[in-house]
Amino acid sequence: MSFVNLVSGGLDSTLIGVMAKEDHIDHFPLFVDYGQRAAAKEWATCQAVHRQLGLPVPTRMDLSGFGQVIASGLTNVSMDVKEDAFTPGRNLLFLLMGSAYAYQVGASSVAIGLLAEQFSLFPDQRHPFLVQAEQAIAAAMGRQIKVLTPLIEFGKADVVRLATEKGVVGTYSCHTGNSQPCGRCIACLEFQLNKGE
Amino acid sequence: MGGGSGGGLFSSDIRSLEDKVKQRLAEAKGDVSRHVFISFDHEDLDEVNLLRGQAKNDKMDLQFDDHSVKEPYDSTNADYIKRNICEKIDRCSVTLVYLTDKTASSKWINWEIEESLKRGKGRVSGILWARHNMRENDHGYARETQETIHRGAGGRPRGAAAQAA
Repeated sequence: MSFVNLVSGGLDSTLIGVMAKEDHIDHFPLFVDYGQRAAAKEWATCQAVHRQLGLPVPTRMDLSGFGQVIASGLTNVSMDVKEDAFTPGRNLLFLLMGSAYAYQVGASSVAIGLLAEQFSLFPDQRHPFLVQAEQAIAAAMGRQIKVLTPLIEFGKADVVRLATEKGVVGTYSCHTGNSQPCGRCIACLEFQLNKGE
Repeated sequence: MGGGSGGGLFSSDIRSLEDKVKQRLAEAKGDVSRHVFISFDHEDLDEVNLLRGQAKNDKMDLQFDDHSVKEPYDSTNADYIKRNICEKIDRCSVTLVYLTDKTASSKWINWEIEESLKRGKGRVSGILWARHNMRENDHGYARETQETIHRGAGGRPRGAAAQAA
């Protein structure tokens, strides 16, 4: 069977794609533009790394109107990229769009690159949310779409180790979308924490 | 995509990390259930039921979404029926066309194939019972499905649903 991989051009989702390819599991990469500041940079990176690594060509879904209305540090430059990072409904939006795409292409599951719960900051990164999202999607679509969290037992350090081993390079993981990572946002801080390991 | 705040959990070796990811990805790989839409002429219903039985005997994890339309294609009720059929096709990952000597003259089957392809279904397959003599060149869609037509042995379909993906 196959799954939809929610991709962002970042390390986590790219690693999931690489591991799936290695195991000969068909997958459909889906990039969701929800109006995030980093959308252009993420999408360009996403296409490039998928091409470099021989992964399936990603599909882009344009939901940029979401970020134009829902202001947060990830969608609005006038807000703080770290302190205002919570974007209500973001991960549910990802799972719903990924599941709708899975429904369309006949895939059984949707994969999201969440890490271990002790590193989570927001409610939509935790187990109760995932269970209920899966139930809601099944109720909405009349068909079970599994939510896969291949990295849910990992910290960022573990992701980096495995990605390095697999030759994953050229990913982008800064919420500002600038060429140079800001070093302040949650995504950049993940890597700094890793350096301290 | 999804987020977190970093850190590391394990002193595991790389192989152990790799196994953890593979185990979780295997959930997608291990799901072998198939939702199959069978398009067939209503006169072939009994034979299609035999096909369903055959699939069950093979212990295949299948959910058939059968459809058979007695209503004329150009009837006043056709639009309503088409909407219902589209819903069924959308729920399935593959459309299986049950080919017999009645298939070629069925406007409904032709429409169901076109609709399945339009709706992004990865594959439209056909199954042909050996005792039927299809005249494949007599209709427009046979060539399109020719590569995926499976001929059963001894008048029994074989592995038809295994083509679903």
